[in-house]
Amino acid sequence: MTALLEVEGLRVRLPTPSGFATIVDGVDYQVEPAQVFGVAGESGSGKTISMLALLGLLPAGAVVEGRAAFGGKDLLRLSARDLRAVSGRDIGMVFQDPMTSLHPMLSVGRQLTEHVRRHLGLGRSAATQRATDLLEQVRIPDPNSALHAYPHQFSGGMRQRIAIAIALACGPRLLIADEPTTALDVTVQAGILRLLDGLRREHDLSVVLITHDLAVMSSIADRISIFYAGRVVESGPRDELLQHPRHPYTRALLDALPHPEAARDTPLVAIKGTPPSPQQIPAGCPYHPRCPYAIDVCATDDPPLAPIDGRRLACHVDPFADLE
Amino acid sequence: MSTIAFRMRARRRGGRLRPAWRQPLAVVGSVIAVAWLVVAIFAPLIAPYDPLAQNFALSQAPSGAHLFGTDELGRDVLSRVIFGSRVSVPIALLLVTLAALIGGLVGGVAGYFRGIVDGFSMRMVDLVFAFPPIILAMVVAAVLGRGLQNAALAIVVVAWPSYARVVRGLVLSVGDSEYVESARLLGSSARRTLFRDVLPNVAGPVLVLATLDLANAILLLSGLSFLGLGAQPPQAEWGSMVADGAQYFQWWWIGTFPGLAIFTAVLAFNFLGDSLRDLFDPQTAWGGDERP
Amino acid sequence: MPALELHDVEVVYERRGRERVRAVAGASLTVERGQIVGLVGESGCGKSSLARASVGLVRPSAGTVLFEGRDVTPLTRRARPRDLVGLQMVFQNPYSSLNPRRKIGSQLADALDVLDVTPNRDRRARVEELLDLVGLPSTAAARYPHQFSGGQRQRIAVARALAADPSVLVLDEPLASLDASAQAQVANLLVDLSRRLSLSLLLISHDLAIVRHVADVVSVMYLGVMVETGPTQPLWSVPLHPYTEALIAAVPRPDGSGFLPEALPGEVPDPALPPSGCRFHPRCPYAFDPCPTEEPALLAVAGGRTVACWLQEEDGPQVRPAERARS
Repeated sequence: MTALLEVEGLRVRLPTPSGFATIVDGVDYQVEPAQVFGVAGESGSGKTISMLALLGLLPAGAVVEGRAAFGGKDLLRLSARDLRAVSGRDIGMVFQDPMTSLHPMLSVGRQLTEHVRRHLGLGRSAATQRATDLLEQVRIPDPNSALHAYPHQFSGGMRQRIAIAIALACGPRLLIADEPTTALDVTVQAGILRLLDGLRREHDLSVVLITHDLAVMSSIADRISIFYAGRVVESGPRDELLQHPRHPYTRALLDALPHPEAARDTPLVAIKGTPPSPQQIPAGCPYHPRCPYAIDVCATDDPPLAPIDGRRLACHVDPFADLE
Repeated sequence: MSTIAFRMRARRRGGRLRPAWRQPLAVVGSVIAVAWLVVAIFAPLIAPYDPLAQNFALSQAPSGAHLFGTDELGRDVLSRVIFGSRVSVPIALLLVTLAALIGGLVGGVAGYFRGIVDGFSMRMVDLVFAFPPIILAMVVAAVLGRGLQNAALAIVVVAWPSYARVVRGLVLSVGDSEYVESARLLGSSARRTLFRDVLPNVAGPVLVLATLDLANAILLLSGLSFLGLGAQPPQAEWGSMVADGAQYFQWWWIGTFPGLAIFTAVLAFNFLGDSLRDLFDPQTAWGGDERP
Repeated sequence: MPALELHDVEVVYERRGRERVRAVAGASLTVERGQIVGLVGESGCGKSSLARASVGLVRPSAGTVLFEGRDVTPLTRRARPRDLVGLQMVFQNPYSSLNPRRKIGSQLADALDVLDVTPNRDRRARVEELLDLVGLPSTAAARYPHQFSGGQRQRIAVARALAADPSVLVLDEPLASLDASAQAQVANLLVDLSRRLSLSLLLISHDLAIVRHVADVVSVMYLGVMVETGPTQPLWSVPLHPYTEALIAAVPRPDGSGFLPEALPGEVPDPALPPSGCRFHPRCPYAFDPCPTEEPALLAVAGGRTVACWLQEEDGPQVRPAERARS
């Protein structure tokens, strides 16, 4: 099965007052059709920038290298116009804060129909029908009156559903969701996760889910890749990765989370140090200064992301290899 | 959000201000402003002639002896422009300071006591804001009578409300901020937090406002003089000189040079004010989620 | 005597031209000495208002708040009464709870100055001591807030509260703006301080997983009222209130099992227009006769637990709502 999205050697550099900073440094991954692909990492790991690069949403002056094959085209080589056509129609994007990603002055119906008419060329009534259908799909109650309402009249969870509806308006094959539930209450989040899961099954949709929250990742992702300092340090099937993490960073991320089984008074394990800023990435393996298992070579050689035992791992030491 | 966060972090991490040569407007503004101040202070030493002396050839175009030419009464324009700075710049400084003090006091009291005091003060502010500044200044100046002092007073009346609004807003918002609440929980009285936490935060924006207001003040003062309500003849004041020049258009130098003086002074203070505003911005805590 | 008690507290906000909002509509809570109580609830439940009322930042329109037996008088323009200084608060946003224009050391020294307990010459040492208590080096004193990470800032805020030598610390979502590692650090710090200094904590959070890990007792709030309270472990394994049950079922798990959390149908109503009777009834899968008409009172159930639900009975056994509904 050919991958829906294949990213190779993605490198993004952004201009700063003191020269260029490499935010994404050689990232490869593949998203299969009808798959939820998780991109996990903390702040500054480059996970959002790598997605923005695919959609041409980077700030002026950004330098992008690599290849992003989608539907037979390389997204990174398309002209702005062609890219807009693809990103409007075949790729949908949902952001974290629905209050700022929805236009506050346009009615919900208008935002939906505008999108659909532009990219699919539908007439007014066909577009309105489609808008109503979309709102139904995302389980907005009373879609007909919702069409005439404005974003501020809805709760956070509802607005996020509307944002998802807009993203799906043109029937894309790929949905990119950047921290879609971070700002929501836990019961509302559960609703959105279920919605995404259901939509992906019904519409054969692939989802790239970007989040720092590994619990959210665990709920719906099929494959997860862990980002650190602009590169992928480990990637693999969800259950394998979360139950048997092999990269020390993945393990550390999981150890920092409260475990339902752990005795209550055991302290949570914090990762010492902080993620490096893009201008100060350590030589060799970027994680080595914080890694309790680092050996000499970790300070000099950057480990490549290599396939091993059904996953991909970038580590010289692989300390948990025999803990299966 | 992450790109913006990244850029802001890069700026903050430097910890230093952008060096002067990267802020051309600030430099230009400061240089011109300082130049005018120097000119104002040393006017008698710099000016080639007595600004009131009418001994020279009438309406001469700019020449070696008279760089800015002479006006219709035979006075040296250059000297008048130089002495004009003694009127515009210091008076503007004085009245902006006065307006800031009065407005700041009213705004501070309103924000601190809230309730009825706040309501009353703000209605006064609204009252002044209801009129276009130049009209109100004209009315006040006309009522008080012609003359420079009265024009200055009129401008103070027009200028103080902006400060009141700004200071009140800051006192309210900083007063409600969490670090002030923490101080209150530790046992600090409201008055103590006012002086230790609130007012220091107020100084910055007020300074920015005052610098920009200086430009307005010079313009207003010149405007009033132009209309005959401010400086009276034969005093050398830029606005009234422009008024003169408007009558004698064929002798373009009479009105143009004082006009340029107004223009450069106003521009300089505007540049300065803008740069000051930018200077104060990055220092304020840039809030936001750590998570991208 | 409990360290902090709230009895039937109500907090009302007037809105100009609209109905008044009872953000807290009669809530009670007790924090014993040295105990960590976690208050959980989602948006609109009123937990922040309750937190502010508990330290006196906001005047309750009804009910009482007692700190070590004394009335917690709300703040006026005067200085807060000395005997309340042992009741301190840490806020949610570490970026706005510190003065951005002053150095850390100066802000901590100022706290000591206000408290006026440490003589001038000992203040510097005490500032270093406070920084050390929260795991920060003494060099931190010379820096400005923007030079620290969110987790470090939060620790500085805790250090400031500790300057008062408090016996009760109310924390309003202290971990919400932090990433996982910083959350772990601050959570560990809080538990450590609580045990070491016998500090009572009222920890308000929407993150059930962390609360479950850290708190001794959990209180669940919905739309301005307490719906359930009890020791953490039994509450987690046998929730008594349908909302508690729903909350727990909605928490995602990072265990790789693909467990899809359960959603709760409906939306949180506008606090200004709460449903009649039991506030949760429109969304409750077990709602029956009395629920839409009469608001259930908080009952004591076995195991030192309380719950406000018509399905449960006074002094009844600890049984899940589903089973109670069946019987």
